[in-house]
Amino acid sequence: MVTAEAQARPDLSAPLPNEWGFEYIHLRLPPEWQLSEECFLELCELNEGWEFETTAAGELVIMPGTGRENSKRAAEILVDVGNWSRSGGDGEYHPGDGMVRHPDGIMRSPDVAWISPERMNQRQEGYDGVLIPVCPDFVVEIRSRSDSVSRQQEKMEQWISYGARLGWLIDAYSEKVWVYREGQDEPEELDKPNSLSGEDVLVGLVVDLARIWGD
Amino acid sequence: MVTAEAQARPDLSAPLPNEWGFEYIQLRLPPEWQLTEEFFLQLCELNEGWEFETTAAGELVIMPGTGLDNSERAMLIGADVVNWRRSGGSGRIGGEAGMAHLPGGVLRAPDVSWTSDERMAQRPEDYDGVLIPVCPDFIVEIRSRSDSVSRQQEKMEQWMSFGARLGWLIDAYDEKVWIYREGQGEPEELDKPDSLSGEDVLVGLVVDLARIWTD
Repeated sequence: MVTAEAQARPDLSAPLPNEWGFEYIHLRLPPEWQLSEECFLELCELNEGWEFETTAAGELVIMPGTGRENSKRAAEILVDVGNWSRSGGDGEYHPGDGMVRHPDGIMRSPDVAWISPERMNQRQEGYDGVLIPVCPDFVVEIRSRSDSVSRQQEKMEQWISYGARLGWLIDAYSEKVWVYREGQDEPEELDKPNSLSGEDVLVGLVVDLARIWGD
Repeated sequence: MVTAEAQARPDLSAPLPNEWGFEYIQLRLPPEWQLTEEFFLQLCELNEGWEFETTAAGELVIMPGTGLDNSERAMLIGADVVNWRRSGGSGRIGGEAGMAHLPGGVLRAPDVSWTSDERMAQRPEDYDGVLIPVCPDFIVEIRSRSDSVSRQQEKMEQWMSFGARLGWLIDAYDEKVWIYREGQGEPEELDKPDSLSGEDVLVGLVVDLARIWTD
């Protein structure tokens, strides 16, 4: 939903320039500051209201927590995924604070994730950590107002390269959805679709997007 | 300078809400990450374009670097201080990268600082010339567009409690200056003054503010 207030603001598909504040930071850490799973989780616990991720280069990414509008959008999708899963779809589903740990040590949380029973079974034996130990089959990312489309697209490409089979990038501000599929180089771009299908990954799932667009 | 573009933007005396980006981060660190002077300086070096400070509670404050408008304002004031020292003044002059080592291990850089020879004489024997080893006598803070007046005023009060004798908070957007003096409870608020005096701290210094207001 693009409100009049939002329209009066500058182009927000680009990152905010310095003097107006900033949207996120990639912090390079002194080598002695180990970004272990333990330290990472401590950071998350100590700094409520902020979201953390790590990059392949070992940087710490710090972002503001999700605002109400996008938190609500993610919840709408999660409810549909949850209902689908409970009525026979199986697997486990996670909201935005479900943190995924990739084999290279990268830690990242999509806004909605679903993991098939087959993938959960692939986790390393004896793993009892609090992070999701495998790449989810399905991820949803919802662009926040301050975030750039290109940065989110890059993230989606990374999800697919880590092994996600289906990914949705939802941009409620430009009313677009990009559907990423395993083995498909380019995402499919949709203009304000009414609904999205779980395709052959979450078979039978249909997510109604009317409430996402909010009009 | 308040441009037409700036006027079309929302009220920026208040901190930016989450979804629009943010103005600074006050990060609580895991106990394993010691915030020593060495690691702090490494952080500064590794992350160009960002400014770092620490708080008395050991938190790491991360802010975007100064934009051109305010960087120039700081240079103009610094130039007047440099000229004053050339014609008979003394002491050390710091720009926005001149970081002061304050009581409690707090590290903080004002936009302009001046430290008297008397205070510099208190430096430790192994002083390496990197940090300002004491609280400067005189400090200038220039409010950035994304920063709130109240946060800057709080910082000024902290400077005075650390031992600064004279402090100027310059807000070019509201065209105001607050003068903080040692032993004076409340700052003096001035509306767009033409010039400011070094008073009994930088005796004889007069800073012309015409170019600061640039209207």
